[in-house]
Amino acid sequence: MSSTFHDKSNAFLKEEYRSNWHDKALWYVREKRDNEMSDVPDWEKLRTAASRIKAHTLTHLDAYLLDFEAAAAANGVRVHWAKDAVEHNRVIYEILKGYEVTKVVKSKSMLTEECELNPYLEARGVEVIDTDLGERIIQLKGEPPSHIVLPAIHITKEEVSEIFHSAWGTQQGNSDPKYLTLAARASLREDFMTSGAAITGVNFAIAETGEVVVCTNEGNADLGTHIHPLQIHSMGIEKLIPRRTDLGVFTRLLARSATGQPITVYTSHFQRPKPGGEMHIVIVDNGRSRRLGEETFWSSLKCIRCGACINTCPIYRRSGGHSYGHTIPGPIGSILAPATDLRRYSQLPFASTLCGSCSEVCPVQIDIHNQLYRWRQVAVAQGQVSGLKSRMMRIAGKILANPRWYRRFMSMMRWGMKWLPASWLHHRWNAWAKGRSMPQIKTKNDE
Amino acid sequence: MSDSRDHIINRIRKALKGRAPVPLPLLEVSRTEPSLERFETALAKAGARYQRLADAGAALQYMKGLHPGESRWISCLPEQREGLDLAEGMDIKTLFPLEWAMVKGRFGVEENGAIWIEGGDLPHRMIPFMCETLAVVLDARQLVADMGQAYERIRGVRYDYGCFIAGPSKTADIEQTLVTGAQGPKALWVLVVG
Repeated sequence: MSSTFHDKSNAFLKEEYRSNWHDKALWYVREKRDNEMSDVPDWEKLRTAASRIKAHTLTHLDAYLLDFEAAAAANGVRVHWAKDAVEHNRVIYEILKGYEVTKVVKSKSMLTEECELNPYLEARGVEVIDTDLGERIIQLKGEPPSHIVLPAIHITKEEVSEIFHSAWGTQQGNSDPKYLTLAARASLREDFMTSGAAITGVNFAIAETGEVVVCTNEGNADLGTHIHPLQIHSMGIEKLIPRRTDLGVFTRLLARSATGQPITVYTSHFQRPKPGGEMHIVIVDNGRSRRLGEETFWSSLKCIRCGACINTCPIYRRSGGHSYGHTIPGPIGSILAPATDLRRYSQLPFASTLCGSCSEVCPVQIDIHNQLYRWRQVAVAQGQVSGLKSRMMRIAGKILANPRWYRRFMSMMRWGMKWLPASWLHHRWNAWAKGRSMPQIKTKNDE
Repeated sequence: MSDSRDHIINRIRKALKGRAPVPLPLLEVSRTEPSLERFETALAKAGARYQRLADAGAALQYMKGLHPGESRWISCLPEQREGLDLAEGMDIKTLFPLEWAMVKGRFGVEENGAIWIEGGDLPHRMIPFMCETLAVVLDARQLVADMGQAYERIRGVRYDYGCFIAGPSKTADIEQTLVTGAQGPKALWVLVVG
């Protein structure tokens, strides 16, 4: 097993300046979200409506998927189905091969990250250019995204300057964000011109009309899809909503929750292929139908990938997205990841204080902190917690359950904390005393 | 391919067995009257520039006045189809660089400054995205208060392609510093007429 969440977040915290900066950057986004939210009088009503629409769709998902397929086909769109990541990648490769495409532009899609589409295509001679600026930065750096909406949030402008300098020969040491953004614009324009097809993710798919909706701020999804005859949209089965009018709820919630904007700059609705063009939609399961069957955890499929829970999470802000080791980090990632591989991700449900802020900001009212708690129980039941920890917890449980033992234990602890030398309390087994002193304890005699 | 479809649909049906279906909620559409003043405020916040003009002809003159001597421009308004020529079947890439383009906005949304454009009003879907400056001409009476009203308005409309545009292209991917003109237009003019 590679290094754990614990080790990686410890390493992240070692650079104090950087972790403080990361914490502040995300809190700033959270505050912007709060400001925007307070301008919408019916905010809570919207959250409830969004949550119910998603719950309704998920409990009728088979019917809505078939409706969607029929409507899309009637629009002249080619619909493909993929059971898993491998099939998704193969379907896309086959489409591209049919057109002899050797270079493709891709706008942001967490699904293609999940399926590891880029390495799959590159191994088969298809160059992939990520066109979202944040994604382009990390692609050039050779890293995965550390956040689902702000993929390069962990990178400083000085680092971006170095990355662009070595990739494109921009001025050394010039780390002005405007200068760097315009350099990326020029380079990406070239990529739009020289590629042969576009791939996008999907924010919403509408069963009634067979259209897909893609939200961006940069306009990269539109530049890519419109410049080429061939456009491909990849979507998970959970992206569906029944009616176009449901977007009246979701478009009011998404960008406000994500980045504190009233709406993304572009909310693009793709219903039919462009004249003379071809439009493909790939519908992907990859474990989602299994999650739908889980009594406790199915509602995590309501997620619209806004990232609000990530921005607000005190653990994420001080650990960085890469510590999670999963495509989707933060609270939502910590309830999605264990469903895919409990052994590998068993630590993630414990990377939380269970403060509940994530559930509080979630625009579709997923009870994230409750699910984190429930995943802990699953992890313990399946023996995915270290022997020491589970023994300690069993002992603590016995003590807390018995008032007499509890009182005796507490008086022992009080005595110990008052009279034992500090070195007895500050040792590697006592996590409470790492980097801080233990509190002063009053015994009855002091009162 | 249809094997996978059946496989997925069957798995979903199995997963949903015994799950209580949740009813689809009715959507409440607000009755708020839109106001042009608040729309202007939202436009300013979205980083768009705003100008009140008499009609589409005046709008075209206004844009020409902002770009004297410029030849790389196109007006896609049905009543003012002017500028660069876009022949049928022509490779859209040959239209680069496009300094400015003018398109028709169907209606505006007061709460966020978004304007709805439709593919059928454009000679090519690429035009509003490939230009350096985009001008959207909007009839002052065509306003809705919020996104709920906006989607009510396009309920049942078949548009092939449609987009809400709220301000010029933007990014804050480098250290959360807002930069306009990320990849699409660097400036957006909203020219309200009538």
